[in-house]
Amino acid sequence: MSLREGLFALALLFAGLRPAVALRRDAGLGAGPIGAFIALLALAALLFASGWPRLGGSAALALILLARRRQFAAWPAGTVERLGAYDPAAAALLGHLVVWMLAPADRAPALAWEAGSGVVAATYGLAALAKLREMGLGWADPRAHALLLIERSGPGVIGALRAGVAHRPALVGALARLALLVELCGLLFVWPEARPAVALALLGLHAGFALLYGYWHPEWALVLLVHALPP
Amino acid sequence: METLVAAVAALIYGALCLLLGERTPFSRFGMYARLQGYTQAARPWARVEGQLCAISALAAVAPVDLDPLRPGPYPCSQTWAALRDLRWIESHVGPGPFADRVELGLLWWSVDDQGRLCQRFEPRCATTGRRA
Repeated sequence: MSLREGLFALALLFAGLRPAVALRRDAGLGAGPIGAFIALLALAALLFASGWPRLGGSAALALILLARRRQFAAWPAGTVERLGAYDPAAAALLGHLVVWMLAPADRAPALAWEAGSGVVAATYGLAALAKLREMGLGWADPRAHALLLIERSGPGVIGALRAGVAHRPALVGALARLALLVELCGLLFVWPEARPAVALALLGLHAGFALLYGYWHPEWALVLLVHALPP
Repeated sequence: METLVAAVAALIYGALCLLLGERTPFSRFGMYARLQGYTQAARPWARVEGQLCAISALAAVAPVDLDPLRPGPYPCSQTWAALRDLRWIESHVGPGPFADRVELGLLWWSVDDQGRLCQRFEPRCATTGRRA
């Protein structure tokens, strides 16, 4: 098992843990089914990383999608999807599996990582495209972003930091423009030579999301990292 | 060849996402893309004996109708958090009455054209309860 296969297996585990934790917390699913699900997913991820990428990958993808379906069903129709249910590891894995099915056996391992990288690039390109389609460059207007930040302020150092930033419109606008630019640069992830630099910029973007918005998903960071690592 | 495979994968996945929408693992990744007219936001909040506190700071509340607090009619970028706040209340309902007066309502934030922010509490229902 290589480092990147191991880290990608970990990303797949995180991808399944998120809906599993949500099902436990929001739908009261018992510890038994959750434990069995995590054990099966860990086994599938291990198989993926240990020389059975098609078998392990297909099983892991099926399990992650099953957990997501259960999570969607635990809320009124469309609630989870509308609020943003993103599965970068599952999406990249889908790219891997398609190539494993289509490419010649000797080239499939290398090309599968390329397909995964292409999918990762597309996720960021789509995020930037969605903003530009809705609002154009006006998306970076600081007022709405200041509101998003102040909603997330509160007691503690991080809450105070968010409030401090929210009250500085020039800084908020600059951060929003930078975030949009970095998302657009995510498209360069299709180019192998650019991946380390693009991954670094995108990891910085996620660090900003975590600090200012409270969204921290290790799955995104791992998916970026493993696809930027050399073979 | 590598770049070509990655570019083709990006194009196909991107096109499928635009076509299929929110069908995991496909998505348009449109979170926070639509911010037009977002000049106000609100989230369920509590006031216990005159002091504002987060919903999760309530240890118990007497039965109360939560419909006025349900997300949808008011702007809120943290719908998840609002839904969880309501579930928190539902799971901490006790027979009551309790010693403290509890007002449940919305904490509103707004931003004006100059980017100035302000905050106000709007009570929507009253009950009794106690803090954690």
